[in-house]
Amino acid sequence: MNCDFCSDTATIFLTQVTGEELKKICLCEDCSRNKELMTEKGLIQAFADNLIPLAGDGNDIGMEDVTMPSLSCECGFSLGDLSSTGRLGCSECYHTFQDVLEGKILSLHRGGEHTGKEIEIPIDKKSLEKKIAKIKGSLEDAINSEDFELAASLRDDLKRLEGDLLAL
Amino acid sequence: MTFENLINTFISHSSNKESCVITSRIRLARNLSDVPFPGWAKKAERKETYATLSKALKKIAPNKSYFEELENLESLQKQVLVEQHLMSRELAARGEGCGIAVNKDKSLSVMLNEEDHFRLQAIQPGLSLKKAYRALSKMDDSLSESLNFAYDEKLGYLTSCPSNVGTGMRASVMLHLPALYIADQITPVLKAVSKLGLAIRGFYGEGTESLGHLYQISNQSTLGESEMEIIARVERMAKHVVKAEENARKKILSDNPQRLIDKVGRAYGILKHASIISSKEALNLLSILRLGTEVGSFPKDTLDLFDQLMIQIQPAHLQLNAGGKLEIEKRDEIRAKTISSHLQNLHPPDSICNKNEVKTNNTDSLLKDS
Repeated sequence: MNCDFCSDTATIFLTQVTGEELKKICLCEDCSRNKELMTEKGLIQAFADNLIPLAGDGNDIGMEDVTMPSLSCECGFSLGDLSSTGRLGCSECYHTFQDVLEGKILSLHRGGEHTGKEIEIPIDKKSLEKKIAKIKGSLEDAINSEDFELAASLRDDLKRLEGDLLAL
Repeated sequence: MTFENLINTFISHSSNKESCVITSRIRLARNLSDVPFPGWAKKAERKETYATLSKALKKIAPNKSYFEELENLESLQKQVLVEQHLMSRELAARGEGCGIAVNKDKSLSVMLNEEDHFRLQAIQPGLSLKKAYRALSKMDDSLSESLNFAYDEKLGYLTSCPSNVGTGMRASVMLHLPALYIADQITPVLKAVSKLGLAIRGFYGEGTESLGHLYQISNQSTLGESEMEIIARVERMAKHVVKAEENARKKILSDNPQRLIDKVGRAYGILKHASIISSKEALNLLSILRLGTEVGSFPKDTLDLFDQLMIQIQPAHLQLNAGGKLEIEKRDEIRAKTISSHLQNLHPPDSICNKNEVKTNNTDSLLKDS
């Protein structure tokens, strides 16, 4: 995602939730300093604390107003609930509030994608192809770095997934 | 297993390889995919979910495990479980539709309908996060055979709070760091830990102060790294801190052993002769006696005695033993008496030396009492 003020990659995402209204801005590190929005320490602290209300008038820094078409999950949980509790209502909330959560999750964790223990779930053709492409990349890296033990294990995974793809 | 048997089961740390590592703990957060998270569920929904969770858990629970719904526990009993690190303060505040399960040796425990549907926990003495994870992962696999856990291919395990999403895993190591405190080096060490993206917390976890010079180091991030990568990172940091503590001990012993002997002696004197003592003061002084054992001022078997006292003199334990609620002043009196009576046969600390002979039978007497 790019910074709202320049073409650099955004690493800081601010989201303000007021009732059912959502405002968000994406900034690169330089712009967040240039705009003197907050100190770096303050920003990190604010994210660590919760989804925070922004200081000052958003229009001064070009904040875009976004109104979500549907702001409640099927479990009845709303954006307002998220803002006040910092927690979610059910697992489906992750999809319902995906836009709001994306920046928050990135700010809390060392990455945005799960690389740990997996649960076998029914898989579609597109995600299987994506997975195969990812393993092919890792396999190439393993061969280049002469980690043949890892390469052998990745090759077996690749064979299995290619078999699954053919079976679909 | 009864509640009494559960709380009287003591895990010894006297054979831990690194003496300042008390325990390693892994916690996994898991949720069912098709029902609201506990904090959002209505009472009836929570009770219905509890029935599903407990049925699946009872199927895989080892023999002689302790299993109880929270509405059947007195407030004091819940507080005792909090003091034993088997229950969170958040769960202790709840009742109907929530529960706890603990295996015979307390190495595995489960909180039902806490912040997440399941909070699975494994504890091992010493630095053994991998061993704890293997045990817990096995339990997780068994549960997932009969339950559908909330899982997303990109985000991993979905949790009530986004700060736990991904692996849903918190790996933590409880460290005893009295020498860093005495040498006035604890603050820079703690700052270094938090700068490297790990959390350092007090005795009872999040938002609590350090008592008895005990600190927990744990991961904050749960997404973007595998379980083994997180464990390796926490273990690496724990080893650095252990090294710093060991160096601080060596430096105190070589530069100014008299200072340490004095501290241990004063702690012994106060604990043996005080007639009123708060739990904070008692824990901090027992921690100094523990250090005394580790540098040879007391026989080795006193480590278990001090560790047990650190549990037994906490407010809920004292009140439960006394049979009901007590005012703070009364608790402080009973606490002082309890400690004093267990230190009666313990000789004053010797100068710093290595000795392994058993001098007292205090551990046995405490086990009998509790």
